[in-house]
Amino acid sequence: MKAGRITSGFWLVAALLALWELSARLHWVDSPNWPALSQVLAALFHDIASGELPPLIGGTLWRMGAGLAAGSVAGVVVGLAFCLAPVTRMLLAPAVELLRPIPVPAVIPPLVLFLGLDDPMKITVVALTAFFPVLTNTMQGVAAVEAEAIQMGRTFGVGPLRRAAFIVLPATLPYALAGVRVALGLSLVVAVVAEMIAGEAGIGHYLVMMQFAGRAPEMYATIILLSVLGYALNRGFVAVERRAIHWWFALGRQADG
Amino acid sequence: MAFLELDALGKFYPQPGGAPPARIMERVSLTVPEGEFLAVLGPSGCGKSTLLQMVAGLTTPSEGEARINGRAVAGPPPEAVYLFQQYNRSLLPWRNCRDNVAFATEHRLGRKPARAAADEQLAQVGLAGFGDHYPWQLSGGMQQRVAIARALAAEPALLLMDEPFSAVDALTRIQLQSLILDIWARRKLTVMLVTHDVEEAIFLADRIAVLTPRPSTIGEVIEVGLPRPRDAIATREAPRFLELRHHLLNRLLARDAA
Amino acid sequence: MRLRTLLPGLFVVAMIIAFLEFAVDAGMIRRALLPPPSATAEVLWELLSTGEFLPPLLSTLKLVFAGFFLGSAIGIGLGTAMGVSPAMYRLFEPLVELIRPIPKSALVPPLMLFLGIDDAMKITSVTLVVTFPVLLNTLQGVRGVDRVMLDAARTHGWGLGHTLWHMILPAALPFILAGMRVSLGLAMVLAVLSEMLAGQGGLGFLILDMQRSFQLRQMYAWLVILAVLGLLLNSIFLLAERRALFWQRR
Ligand SMILES: Nc1ncnc2c1ncn2[C@@H]1O[C@H](COP(=O)(O)OP(=O)(O)OP(=O)(O)O)[C@@H](O)[C@H]1O
Ligand SMILES: [Mg+2]
Repeated sequence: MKAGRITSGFWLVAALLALWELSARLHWVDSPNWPALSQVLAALFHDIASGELPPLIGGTLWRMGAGLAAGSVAGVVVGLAFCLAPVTRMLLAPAVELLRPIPVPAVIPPLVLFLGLDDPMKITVVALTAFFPVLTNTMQGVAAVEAEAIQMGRTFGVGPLRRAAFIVLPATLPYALAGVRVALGLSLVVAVVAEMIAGEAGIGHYLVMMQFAGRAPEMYATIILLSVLGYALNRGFVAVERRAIHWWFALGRQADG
Repeated sequence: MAFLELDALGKFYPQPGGAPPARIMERVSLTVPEGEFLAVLGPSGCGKSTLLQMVAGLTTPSEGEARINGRAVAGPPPEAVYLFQQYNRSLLPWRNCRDNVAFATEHRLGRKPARAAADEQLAQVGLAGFGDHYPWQLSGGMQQRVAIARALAAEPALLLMDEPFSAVDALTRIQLQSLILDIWARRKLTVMLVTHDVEEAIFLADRIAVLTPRPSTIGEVIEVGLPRPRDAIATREAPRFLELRHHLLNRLLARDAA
Repeated sequence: MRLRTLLPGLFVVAMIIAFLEFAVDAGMIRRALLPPPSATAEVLWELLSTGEFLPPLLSTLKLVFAGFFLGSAIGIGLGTAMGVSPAMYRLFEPLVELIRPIPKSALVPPLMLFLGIDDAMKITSVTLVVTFPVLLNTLQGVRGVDRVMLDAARTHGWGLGHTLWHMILPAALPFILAGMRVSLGLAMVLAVLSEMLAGQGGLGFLILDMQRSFQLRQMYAWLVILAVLGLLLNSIFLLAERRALFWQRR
């Protein structure tokens, strides 16, 4: 699919999609759960054009964005604190590490008690998900700051706060952003998961409703929409990243994780 | 009262597991008058960077003290600027050259004046018009010029240089040496240069202090006595130059001076 | 020595728990939201001592393990094939790129339509989410093997199998294990989620069910069990990873 070159893989995808269409049209698979691709796409366009999906997408994206922003900021702040003031790390790291391995869906039921079924709960769940990858990457980033760069600041008489803001923070940014990129993918998924488990809002809830109602085309259309959304968000973020830290890519570095 | 005094400086690092501390350096004493160009010569790993960092206030000495204008060094002194061995690590890759140079002064002067001054400094090291370039767009020699411009922007009275030319090619090194001599003469700086390059030390310095192997101390201080201004080619062919080179290489390679 | 550096932090955790106990007692937090930790501990002790915790735990563990091993096997197999053979790469790359961005948790509802609410559905969803990080990391690792090393293998007359086993896979191992570490966390997430949605049993189901029937002490007790399971699996994997990568000094 890249650069218009048609390879065997393209034909494989085309064949599978054709098989999907034909198997449903010609009743090779005879099930109400197996609509044809064309029906699914028609449902997708219809639900968008009828104005049913857009507000749901908007709500899900808002919860995702708010949670991602809150979690990322918290991750960067805590990461910087852990590295620059080791006491905080000594005192708080075990508490953080005890929370990390809890699978996110499991924190939804208790959070529902405290925050209800609506936005505050869902945003908190997303924030909690986004927090950990950003924290890990920020700490890696601070560890990778060149000692020479910090000493350079000292030799010119630059104070510790200014050094943190103008040397440590920019040097850490590529790592933190890589963490946010990972968190971005998780955030969309978790926002949808939270909607599936609790409340009556957003794409996730719509998906479950369509399953219960046995409206298979709408259900598959929702999944396609989510995939496109996830792909587009990732692409958009990478584009922003490439502009924001162009110097990092010019150095030919990579910060994954 | 001399401008810079090193008074019985010593450094040791604690060892893990209760072993006796590793002694890097002991009883380094030296006085440097204002305006002198001093070179400190020693083999790799003998503690040259450590010594220079103690003078720059970036490392605290384990024994003794360094004094500038009679005041003991505790933390980076305002008179001195340290020029790093690895320019590629001390330049900030997210800032262009102008803003890198401005970094030396913007916390005191504010951003705008610092930038204006930065352009001037860049011109002085032969990089006029490169203000908008990023460090990684320049060659190694040019990057080191940016670092020099940044050091000069802080208008130091004392310039501490840690093998500043060891990472550039031989021809660039000769050009940068002449540039430093030129700036030193114009600005009436005091320079303390650390190097393992015998010819560099002779070509640049008024005096050369030779460090012994670890635990290192000053083994010998030599007056260079070559006339100034020095010439990149002619000075290197002067009999006195060759004589000093012979003597120092013999010393560093631990052969008997015949 | 590690324990001593951990102690202050564990003390803070104990303080937090003690504070919660006090806060609930003093009425600062409503009992309807959070029972006192001591009450939760009592329930937890009951679950543990009677052995009641075991069946749900094992049921969740089964999903995680089955999905994790299946998904890892598919990911490593396909990733290696795609990394070694350009033809396989051309054949599967577009398909992988197409399926990769699909949020696997959103596939649980359709899977329920086809596979019902049994283990088959749950294991399939865990397998799906595990496969992709492992596949992509394996691919990256295998493709990153030094060409010089491969040429060296050729000059020694090694066959494909020998080269794979003794050169390519060891070199790709750090990448593969990193992918598996990510996948292990995702496997737990999908196992819990599919238990919640299919509602038959397992830790995920119990946590949600206890909340819905307002048995909060039970809910928190099961949550603690799940958290400990997560912590254990994660620690065991990290330990195994460090063992396997002993030659990678870091
Ligand atoms: N933090 C430390 N702990 C223990 N030993 C150290 C530490 N820092 C430096 N050293 C030791 O001090 C010695 C001197 O280091 P220094 O960098 O000053 O040498 P140098 O003469 O500048 O070497 P080079 O020519 O390679 O730059 C080295 O042998 C090094 O191993
Ligand atoms: Mg050095």
